[in-house]
Amino acid sequence: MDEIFPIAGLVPLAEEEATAMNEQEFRSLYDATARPILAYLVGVTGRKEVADDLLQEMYCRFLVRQPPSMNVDETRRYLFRIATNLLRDRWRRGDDESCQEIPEHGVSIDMDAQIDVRAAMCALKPRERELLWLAYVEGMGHAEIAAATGLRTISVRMLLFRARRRAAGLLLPKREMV
Amino acid sequence: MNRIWCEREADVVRSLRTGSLSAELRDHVLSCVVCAEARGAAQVMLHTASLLRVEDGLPAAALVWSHARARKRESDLKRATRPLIVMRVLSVAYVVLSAAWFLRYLWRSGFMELPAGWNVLGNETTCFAVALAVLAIVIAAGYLLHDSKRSGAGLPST
Repeated sequence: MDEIFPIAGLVPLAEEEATAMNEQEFRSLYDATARPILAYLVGVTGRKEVADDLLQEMYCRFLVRQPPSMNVDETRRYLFRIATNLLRDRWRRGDDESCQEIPEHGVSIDMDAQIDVRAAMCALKPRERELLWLAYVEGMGHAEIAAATGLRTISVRMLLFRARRRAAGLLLPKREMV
Repeated sequence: MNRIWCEREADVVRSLRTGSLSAELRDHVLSCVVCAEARGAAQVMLHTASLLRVEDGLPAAALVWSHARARKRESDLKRATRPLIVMRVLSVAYVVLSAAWFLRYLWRSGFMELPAGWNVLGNETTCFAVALAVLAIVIAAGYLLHDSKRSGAGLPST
């Protein structure tokens, strides 16, 4: 059975303190969700320091808003939704959309592929990076992506189709030449 | 027309994520444009994800918690004082409107005739003041109702 995170919703003020999330509950939520969401933010923005700020802001908004009780999957989708909204707010404000540095901590065994992949990621639009990440790294279905981005399922299908085609097109010519 | 999705796409992506693409799925990818593109795009994303080791730089949970608690206290305080600010603005508007009406009345009736017209002034002023007060109360009550509904809804950001 799914774990339920007790989060205060439409409750009287006197009850709010009793049902609000405590530090221990927050820590378990954080341990369960922070890594994939930070990876998503770094993957989409290409900037670790920006991703860190957005991650902290996301949890702040989550705790300030205190949505009604949710199970783990719903909470995860809700957090991705806040993270995606924060990314859009950032781009709407005119902050830099380019991905200048994909942090490179891991060991790559295929340098050519790594260069192709980094170039392909940077050539994609931010929304394309978001959708592709949610679909292929997080393994979300169209309906889940719709819930995590605020788009309609039919729009997700179409946008994902375009993003996928663009991403595949960015890699294929180089690979075919090799 | 191009197909925009394939029912096997989820299986292909799942296999790539677990690293076990079966022979049957491999055959399907060779014959399906959608799944071939999905495989290419998924490889880009999974490769990028494999390069990130976010564990090293994950902010401490305690830090995020204390930051969030401080923000929540700030937000609660702001929410609590918002009705007071609205009431203050309404009271200023009320005084300004009353003063404007009174000055206009004085201008039209003339200072010399003021004693004669005092009764009329009294009646009209009272009606106007009562009407403004009722209007202010209705606006304030409407605002408080709207604010209490909104603060309890827990809506995500835009």
